[in-house]
Parts: sequence; C-alpha cells; structure tokens
Amino acid sequence: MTAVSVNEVQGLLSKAARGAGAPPAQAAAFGQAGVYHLACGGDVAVLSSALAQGLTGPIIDCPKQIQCTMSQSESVTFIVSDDPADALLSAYLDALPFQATRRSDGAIEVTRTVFQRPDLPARLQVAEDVLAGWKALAARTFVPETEQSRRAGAGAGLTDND
Amino acid sequence: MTPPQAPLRPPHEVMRLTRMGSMFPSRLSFLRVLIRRLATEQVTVTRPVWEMCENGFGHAVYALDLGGHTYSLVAVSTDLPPEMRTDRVIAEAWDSAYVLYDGVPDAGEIARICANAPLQEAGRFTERDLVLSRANKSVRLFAHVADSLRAGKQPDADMIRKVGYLMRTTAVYGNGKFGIADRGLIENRPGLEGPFAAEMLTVWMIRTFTHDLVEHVGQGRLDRHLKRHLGIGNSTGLGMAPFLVTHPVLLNNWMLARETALARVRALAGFDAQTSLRLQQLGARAQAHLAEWLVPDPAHQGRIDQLCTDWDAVCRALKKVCVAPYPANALMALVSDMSEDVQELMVSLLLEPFGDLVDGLADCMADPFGPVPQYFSDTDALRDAVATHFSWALAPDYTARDQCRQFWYVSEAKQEPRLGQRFDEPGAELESPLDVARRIKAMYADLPARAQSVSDFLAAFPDHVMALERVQLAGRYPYAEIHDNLIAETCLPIDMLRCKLSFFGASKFDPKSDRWTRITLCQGAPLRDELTDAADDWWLPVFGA
Repeated sequence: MTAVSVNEVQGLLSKAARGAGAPPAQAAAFGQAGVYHLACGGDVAVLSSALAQGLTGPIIDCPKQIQCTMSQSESVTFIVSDDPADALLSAYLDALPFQATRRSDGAIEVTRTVFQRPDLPARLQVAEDVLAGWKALAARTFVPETEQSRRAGAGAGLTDND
Repeated sequence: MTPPQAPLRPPHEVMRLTRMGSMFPSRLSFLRVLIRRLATEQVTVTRPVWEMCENGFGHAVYALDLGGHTYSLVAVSTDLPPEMRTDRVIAEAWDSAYVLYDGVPDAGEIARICANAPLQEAGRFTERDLVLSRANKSVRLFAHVADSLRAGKQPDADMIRKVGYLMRTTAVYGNGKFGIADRGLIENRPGLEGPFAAEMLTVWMIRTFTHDLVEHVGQGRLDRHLKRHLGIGNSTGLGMAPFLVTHPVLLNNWMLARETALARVRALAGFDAQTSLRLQQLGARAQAHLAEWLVPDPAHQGRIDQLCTDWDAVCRALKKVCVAPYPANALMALVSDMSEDVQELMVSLLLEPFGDLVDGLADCMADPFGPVPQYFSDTDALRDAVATHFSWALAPDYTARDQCRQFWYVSEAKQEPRLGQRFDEPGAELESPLDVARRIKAMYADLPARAQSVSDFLAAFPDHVMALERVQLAGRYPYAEIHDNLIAETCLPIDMLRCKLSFFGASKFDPKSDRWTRITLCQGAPLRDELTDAADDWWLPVFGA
C-alpha cells in the first residue's frame, strides 16, 4: 500500500475519469466522491469498477441523480441500498457542502443548509497497482510534447537567468 | 456592526482580463495579511541549525511559533553547475530547496528532507511537510553582494535597487502535491486560515535564509536598509493561470473582499486631515515606486511610463480632491477616464489608510465550504440564469478561428498546464475545460423550447454538466467568472497571472512574454527582527525610504 495525500487521490481520480471518457464536471465530482469513499473505509475496487464502466456507470449516474433529487426540495432523501454503486452515491453526498444525515433504515437525508464537510484523514492508503491503473487512465488526458510546444507552450524563453 | 458601503463595482466591469491584468497588491494581499499576523503575535524566528560550508552549501533550519503551532523551514543549499540553472519548470536541479515543516524536525527528519527536497517533484514527502519550494540565485547580485561583504564594504546600492532579490523561487507547492500535507490539515489553524498563508510564510522565511546565506558567504553584515529591499524573486508561468478558473469560489471571495473594501471606503462622507495627508504621502510613495519599476520589455516599460505620467497628474490633484464630499468616490471619478492601470492603482491606494474598514475582510477570502450550488426547478429557470449572469459569454462566435485559436492542455512531460495553437498544433482533442464561455453558450443553445427538468436535460446532454454547475454558482458568487473568452487569440494569460500574484502581494511585475513573468515578493517587508505594530507599512516599497 502507498500512503498518498487526499489531494493526490482526488486529482488522480478526476484525471482518470477524464481519461475514461467522463466530461470534466462529472470527472471532478468523481474525484471528490472518491476521497470520501476511501476515507470512510470504502472498497477501492468500487472506484476502479466505476472507472471501468466509463460513461455507463456511477460517474455519470450519481451526479445526475443528485441534480434530479436536489432540485426537488430544500430537504431531500436518498434511498441507499447495500449495492456497491450506492456506496459511491453515499460518498457523493458526503462531498456536497450540505449536511447529510444517515437514517437507521439506510436512507440519507440531505438538507440544503451550508455545512462544513467533515475532516478527511491525513493519508489515504491505496495499493500501488491500483494507483498505476488510475495513472494509466489519467495519462490519456496528457498531450505529448512537440518541438513547438517546448518552445512556446509554457511561454518561457531559452535564457532565463540573471 | 458591518460598516456602510457604497454600491460594488459590477462584475462586468471588474472581471475583465485587462483589468485583472492591471491589479496591484493591496493591504488585502496575502503577504500583508501574514505580516500583520506575525506582528500581532510578535513572532520570533530562531535558527536552531546552520550547517553550511564556507561557500554556502549545506542546510539550515529556522523555526517560529504561530497560532499555537511551531513551524520550521528546512533550507537546503546545493552547488549547482551554471549550465543546470534554469527557472523553467523543466529544470531538474536548483540552487536551493525548501520544506516548511510542521513542528521541529529531528535529525532523522532533517536528513529525510535534505535527501528529498532537492529532488522536488521527483521526491516523496509526508504530511509533516506543509510546503515544498525551490529557488535559484540571481547569480550576478548574489556574487556581487558576497564579494562586497568579503571586501569589507557594502554592495552597490544601485544594483540592489535594480535587481531587488538574491534568489528567485520557481515553484512553491502546497496542498498535497507530491505527498505533502493537504490544505485541509492546516486550514483551521490560527494564522494559516487564509489562502496561501503557509506558502507566503514559506516565502518570507526563504527571504530570511537568503539574507543569512549571503552574509555567511561574504562574512559580513548587510546594511539593514539594503537587506529590507532584498525580497524574493519569483518566476511564474502558465501553471498558475488555470487556478482562477478551477477555483471560482476563491476567485469570487478574493475579488468580493477587495470590492467590498473599496465600497466601504467610498461610503465615507469625508476624510479627516490626517487621512488626507496619509493618502498624499502614499500617493507620493507610489510615484517613487513606479519610477523604480524598470523592465527590459519596451512595450511593458511604455505602459509603466504612461502610468507614471498619469499618476503624477493624480498626485497633483490628490490634496484638493481629498476634501471633496465622498472623496473616495471623487478620486475614483478623477481616474475614470484614465487607464485601468491608474484605476486599479487608485483602488489599492484607497484601501491603504483604512485598515479598520478593510483588514477584517481578509477573514472572508478563504473557501471553507466549497461551492454551494443553486438548483434550478427547470430549464426555463436555467435559461433565465444564463441570460442574467452570462450574457457576456453568449456574444462571441466560438466557431470563428480568432475566437477559438488557443487551447489549454496538460503536458505529458511535466503534467503542467500549457497553451497551444489549435490550428497549428496537435492535442486539441485533449483540451482542458477552461473554455467556460464557449461551454455556457453551447448549453444555452441546446436548452429546449419547452421547459423540462434539468436532470432530463442533462440525461440528454451530459457534456453540459460543467456549464450548468458554473451557472449554479453565479447567483451566490457574482465575481466567480472571468468575463472573457479564455480560448480567443486575444486572451493573454499574463493577465490572469498578475491578478493572482497581486493577491499574493507581488510587485515589480516584469513580463518576459504573454505567458510568464518575473515578480518580486516581500520587497520592503519587515525583517525577522522588525515585527512591530508598525510592521505592515510596506505597500509599494521604495528603495532606501
């Protein structure tokens, strides 16, 4: 296992989701949800599975479901089953700036009152091979250098000392 | 009680690239906020470790207590062959490397940092490491100062004035990069709550190290007024620009705090004699500062020269206008027909004497909650919100080549933001989503004639979620968006850099292209033994003043 920062995981998951074909907003939301999922002891395989499903899985469905439900009322209830995909929905709700309260029946009530999100741990533990898989997906979003981009892409000249 | 305030300048006036690219540091800049905090706590900086050879290579540790926590700067100075010295992000070695450490590092931790910090992005760090940075010497000035001190004399004052720093940072990393601590771990700590507070603390401590290092190598003491003028240089490129787009709430909070501060000053019916005199003194200081702001680029120097001319006229009128009713309004009216450079300098000037009205707003510049969206009942409500807040985004024809000539991307080699030419370079299919305006217009065009639920709309158009999310923020965060097309051929990233850097407290902008700039941080800032109640009076510093 490798100890990584929350921001590293969030950034990597967002880029991996982009690499898996997700639009930018859904990819960013997946990154945020991913760290809450791991912080709560969630199975890392759920995240890798979501990435593998690309445009047909929770990376697209969870934000859509949240938009749909949240627009209905100031206080809404999400029904969350034991299904692994629902575990990810729970993490998406934790990532919102609203208070999410878990009921005894498993449902989650979200009230549109601004709420400081719970603290996240200092480190998240992710297996090296899992990180490698996410990095491979993320790498799909990077643009290889060309001579022109080396010269002009960052805008710096060749001489920059004084 | 909240002070009265005049109307805010509207976002369509403030959030334009050219105006953002004309901003100056102010008393809301993060370095100023930090220095006030250090002074309030009467912070003492110690140097428990100094393991440096006679040529200035080795390591040092500095420590201070702030808000009930101890922080240490571990500085590592290495012998860098001249051919390896470059400020570009592609560099792999630097004259010096730094870690701001949470606590006091023991020998094992110092050894770990000394092994990893010089590697920078290739190293690996822990949650005790709060900030990672590196800096290169201004070889010419560093050698001159050391040689002068060694010869028993002070360095050439003119050279100190012209260069203004002994070292330039080329990166200051925070928030979890390469394994360092996430911002979430320190964002509630007293003194570090503000944006980039830990990074600014690091920069200020690095400046102290550069002073000590040159005195160590030169075996002499620099005069205090020379030392105070030696800040920290910085080279900043495109990597910083997308931040303002990807952090809309922070951008809003920074700009809103500044605009609110201005509105509070504009609400004052009159200035007393002392305030009027203070404004005139500060205006004159700005005059002298501008006269010392010399850059090699003829175009930018021409802009500074024009600013000097216009500002001279402003200063001549200051005394008279300061006694007018609502004098801040009168001063803003005075410069309303002048360049945005003059107008934004006036904003910074007007904030300066009014710490009691302004300084508390610094507490509103962080983002403790994250974006809080407004949910729309249906697509008609969404359409109305676009029309209300994004008319500026609907105007351009994004299919025209000049309106989409540039594309932002992340480079494979350094995983850093870059800007490409869409019709000349490969990679546009991997474009980073900084094309907010184009996305808003595309979503607007796809909205149905008859109202439907937003979720049904998104089911049909999942690519529009990002545009929707930006619109969902607009009501609550009016200054969250740059009201310009960031992929147009006219987009100059340097404007975004200057906006962000002015909030850091940077001065002496020295653009090297439209994509990167040199700046100076901490120039004129108090030294470590000058953290008194009057420590914060260093807006637009003047050499030798």
